[in-house]
Parts: sequence; C-alpha cells; structure tokens
Amino acid sequence: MTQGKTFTEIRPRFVVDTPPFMHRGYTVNAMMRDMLIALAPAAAAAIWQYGIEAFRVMALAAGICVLTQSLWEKALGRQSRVFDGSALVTGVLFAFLLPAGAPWWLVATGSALTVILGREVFGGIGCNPLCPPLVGWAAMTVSWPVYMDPTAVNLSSSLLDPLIRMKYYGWTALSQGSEMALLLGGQLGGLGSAQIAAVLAGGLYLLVRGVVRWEIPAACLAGVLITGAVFWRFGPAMGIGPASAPPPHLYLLTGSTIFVAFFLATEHSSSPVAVGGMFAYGLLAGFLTVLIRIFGMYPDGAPFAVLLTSLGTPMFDLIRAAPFGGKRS
Amino acid sequence: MKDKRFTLVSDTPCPITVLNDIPLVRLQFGERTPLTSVKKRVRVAKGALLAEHGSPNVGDMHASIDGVIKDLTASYVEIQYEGLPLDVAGTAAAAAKDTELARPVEPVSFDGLDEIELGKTLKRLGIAIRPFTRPCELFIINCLNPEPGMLYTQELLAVHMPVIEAGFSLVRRLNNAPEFVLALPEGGSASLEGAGVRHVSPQYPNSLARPLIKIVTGAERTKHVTLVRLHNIFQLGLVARSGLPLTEQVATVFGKNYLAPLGTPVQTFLDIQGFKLESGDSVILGGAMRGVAISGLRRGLRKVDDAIQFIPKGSRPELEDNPCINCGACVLVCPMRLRPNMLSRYAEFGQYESCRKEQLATCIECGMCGWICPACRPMQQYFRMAKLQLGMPTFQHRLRGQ
Repeated sequence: MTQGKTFTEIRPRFVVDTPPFMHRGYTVNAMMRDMLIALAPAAAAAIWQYGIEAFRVMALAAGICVLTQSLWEKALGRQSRVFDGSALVTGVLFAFLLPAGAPWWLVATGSALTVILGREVFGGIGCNPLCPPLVGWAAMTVSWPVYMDPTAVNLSSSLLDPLIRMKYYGWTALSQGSEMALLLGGQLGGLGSAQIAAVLAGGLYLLVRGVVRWEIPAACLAGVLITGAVFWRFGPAMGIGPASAPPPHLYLLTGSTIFVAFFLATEHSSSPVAVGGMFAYGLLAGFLTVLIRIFGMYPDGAPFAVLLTSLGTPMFDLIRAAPFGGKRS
Repeated sequence: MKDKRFTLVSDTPCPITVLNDIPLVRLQFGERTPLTSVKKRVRVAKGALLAEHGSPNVGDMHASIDGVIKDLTASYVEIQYEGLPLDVAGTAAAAAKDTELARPVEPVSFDGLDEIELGKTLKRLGIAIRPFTRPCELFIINCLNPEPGMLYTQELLAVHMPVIEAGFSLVRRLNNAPEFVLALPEGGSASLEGAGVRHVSPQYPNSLARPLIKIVTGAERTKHVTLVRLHNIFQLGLVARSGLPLTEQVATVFGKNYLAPLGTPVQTFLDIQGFKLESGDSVILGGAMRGVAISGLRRGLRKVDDAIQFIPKGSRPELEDNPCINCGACVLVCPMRLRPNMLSRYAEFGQYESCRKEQLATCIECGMCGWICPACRPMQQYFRMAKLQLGMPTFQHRLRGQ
C-alpha cells in the first residue's frame, strides 16, 4: 500500500460536469409519456367501437415497432434508445391510421417499415426527414390499397366511410345533421384517427403540456378551413361541381385531418422549428389536404399533404428572424 | 421562458456576513506573474503585492490576510493566518522570513490624479480597470443579480450604498460617458446622483450583458454601450473608500451572503455553515447557468466569482450526447435568436465552419438551451468546443485569466 491517500479514498467525490446545472426537468421520456396520455382517449374510443380488433392492431403495431427498433440497433451496434418510448408512440400513431380490420401481416410489415424506412435508416430519432408513421402508411396504401380501405376490411361494420361517399356521391349524400355523429367517431376510417372528438381532446392536451407548439395545428386547420371555404364559395365558378366542394367544416369532421394536424404534422424532426416557418408549413399542409381531397385520387388528403409539406421543411426553416444584432449570415 | 427558478430577486433579506480571521486563503495567479520575492515561508502583510499583470483587464494580486506563505505553485499561493504583521522595525518571529512584503501597506490618495494616473493606480490596487475606462456613449450599471441563486445585489443597494457611491464617483472620473444608467430590478428604489434609473424585469437572462443592453437602449447594438456589474462597482468602491488594495469580495455562498477575504476556500464556507456534502454532489463556482464545477474544496474565491452553489446529486438529468430530436424548444428560448439545434449538431459532428456561419460568436452561453433541452444534450459544452476550435473567446476563457 502507498503511504498517501489513493484516489478512491478521497471523499466526497464531486461530479464535475458541464453547465447549466439546472434543468427544466422535461425529458424525451416525459414527452413520450404525454404523447401516450394524449393518445389514450382515442385508443379507448377505438376499442369501444371496434372491440378487440382495434386493440389487436394497436398492440401488434406498437410491439413490432419496439421490436424492430431494438433489433435494428443491435444489428448495427448502436446504443439502444428503445427505452425513450418513441418507438412505442410511433407504433400507436401508425396503428391509428390503419383500419381496425387490417390483417396482421399488413400491420407487421407497415410497423417494421415505419421504424426502418421512416426513421432508422436516417439515423434514428431526430434524423428523419418525414413523419415515420406516415411513411409506413404511404407504403401500405400504395402497396395494398384494398387492405388499407376501411370499407373493404370492415365488412361487418354498420358504419360508413364518409370520405368515399363524399368522393363519389358528393357531400350532399351525407345525411343531414350527421355532424355530431361524425364528431363522436360514427364513421369508418383509421381506427384511432376517425375518433375526432377524442383525438381533439388528446391534441389539446399536447398543446397544454407543451409537447407540440400551437402554431402548426392552428395553421394547418386554418389552411384547411380557408382553402375549403374558397372552394365551397367559388368552386362552381371554377367549374368544380357543387357536390365536390363540401362546406369547410366537413374536412375537419371526416378522415384524419384533426389527427394529422395535431399528432403527425407536429412531429418534431420533420417540421420546422421557427414560428414563421411553422405557420407557412401548416398553411401549406392544410391547403394541400383540401386540394388532394377535391382533385386527387385518394379520398383522405391529410396524410399525403403532410408528407409532401415535410419535404419543404428545410426551406421553411429559412423563414426566421435574424440573430441578435440583425446581421444575417 | 417564464419559470420561477429564474427569478433574480429574493423576497426575504439576506444580510451580508463579514468574514474575518480566515485560517488560510488560496489565491489563484491566473495569468499574473508572481513577484520574485514571493517565496515559501515568507511573511506577508494584508494588501502586500504578490503578482502583477500587464493588461488593464486584469488587476494585480495582493495578499488578502496577514500571514505566512505556506504553499506556492505555478497556479496559486496559499497564505496561512499568523496574527498581526510585524512592526517596521522587525521584531522577527522565529521561523518566518521577513522581507518588504511584511511591511504594512499605506493607503493611497486619489486626489488630483488625472484619468490615466488614476487608472494605473487602481490597477495596482487590484482593480481590472478596462471596463471603466472603455469609451462609450452609455454606461450601464447592472444592479440585477447575474444568475439565479445569487442574492447579493439587493443587500448591497440597501446596506452598502456609500461604498457604491464612492465607486461611482471614481467611475465618473475614469469615464466621460454622456449618460449613466442604473438598471434596477422592478420595485428597486436605489438611486445614484448623476445616473438615470431603468427598471428591468428581474428574470434570467435579462441580467446578462446583451439582453440587458437591448432592454435599456431598445436597440441591438452593443458597440457604444459599456455594461458593468454592480459587483465591480462595489469592488471599486471598497478600494476608493480605503485607498488600500482590493482584498475582499462579496459573494453568495450556498444561499447566504458574505463579505469574505479573496481566496477564502470553499471548505471554509462549508465549515462555517456546517454544510455536509455527499459523493455525487456538484459544487459550482459561479452561477448555476454558466458556472464551473470544481473537484476540490480548497479552491479559493477569485475576484470574478460572486457565488458558490451546491447542486445535489440527481437534481438534474444527466447531460449526454443524445441525438437532437429537433423539437425547437431551444430556438424558442434563445435570447440571441440563434438556432441552437443546428449549432449544437454542427459542433457535435465537427462542422465548425458551419457554426461560424450560424453566428456562433453571437452566443452568450446563457445556458437556456441546455436548461430546456428535453434530449438533455450538453449544449454549452458543444458551443465551447466549437468556439475553441474556431479561436473565439468563451465565457470561461475570459474568466480564466483573473
């Protein structure tokens, strides 16, 4: 033994760290917990409406996402980040876009693609240029459109898909006064995304908790309402049949517009970070939603609208105030 | 960002305790050069010159207590208290060697000195005079506590106003700025003859130089504005009143205010308060947002350290090289309107030139981005690393010389 104190004997030993030595205390884990809380009402509504079918899809999607991420990280020798909860949340978000009767292989393939193609190939959390659940959804929609069609896979359901009716029979085909039923989830669609009221409640919770900023959902919904109102008012003058341009509020009450605006358009990595960019991004996403619904071949415009808009995120990020002193680089 | 932890005023008074009879002080040389007569076992009188520096940014260093030099290294000198100094005739104590360093220090008079001579005299008395002599159109005295956890400015304004007035009278002689402004926290009532008053919301980071200059002038131009902390005015006032070298320092230590000799070790404050530290805690020299964690408790208080804080183990999530999730919280909170998300990623991946293009030099290292980051990334560490690579001065750099 040496005479003096060895290093391990020196007590107490202090942590020498980097400032700041204070932290707000809100971490990614807390953020993901808030996301799950925000998704809970719609998940409960989906289970109430579709029973074990909906639970099956959500559980399978979440499980496959977590499993895929951990296997991928292991295969590549990366530090595992599966416990931050983001894979779990991504899985539930993806499941919300699927019809309740989706076959298991579709859920599994889509979930795996969501994680790998949506996020991990770009380097994991924070590196994805597009919203991962939307990437998975788009791949499935393009590959197996029949299995992604809620009407086709939920044959036993007595509910109707309002998007199909509006697309092919005109919005006047929706029964009068059906708005309240639509709001409460009385429609076929994505199993969670069609629970409009529950999704809205969850979205407001996200705003209150500060997980997402209000600018993107507000601009997105404003974009939908403004564009929808323009087509509703001036559509006939532009040669669009009056049945093809519904009153603007129907865009919000049908399909996944609300869900996409609150939960997917706000996905941190693929959305702008500065206020001006957020407004432009949201408005464009809303505008494209209406455009795809009226002119496109896909009845629900919101997911593709956000995917397209996300491609412009680096451009939207250029809309920002100059740093202190007003000198731009 | 509104958070009650960023409030810079306290509701309860925190009286300043004067510390005397410190058994040992450790004085850091910084970039100063020790005198050749400074050797081990040499007796020194309080106020004796120990080390010099050529720059007006760094004041000379003096012994802060009467005693004998116990230890001397390239970076610090330790002085052990040993009663009163010898009289000039030198009835020597047995062990210690007596040199001119043991001679009691005579007060200096500032009367009749011109601007240049006054500056030189003050520098020799341990004051960093550069901020006071900097030519400017507006001279702001920052009366906000610089960082959360610092509590001394209200007490200085309430109790030590004569010292501050003495300091300000010297400032008026050193600097012929057309306008002087006292930046007070809202509700503060102090005033100085010849200086205007501006009330500022006492919320971090309003206390830092550039945000405060913006609040006071309304413009984002800092070139013709000088901003000095109340702390520095108080130091100047102490020297102005006594005519003796700067040997004391006001600081908030573990939530209490002290007027203590320079170089008082952290351990001494712990002993006085009966504070017990555990392994895994952090002890911070300076503020919780911009300070330095120290590894040993013998570190002495420097002229630039106005606080020592204690961060209990586990009170903050660990900062690690987690990936940025691009949530944009840092962009929203940055007082300099930078993009810390991009800056930190450029620094993380070694793209330092991109950091320069993103105006890293504008960063004031306030720590807001690291405070809010949900991914718990060590933002300031990235910025300091990038600044070092680009040859830009960092906040710590500027303190290191002191």
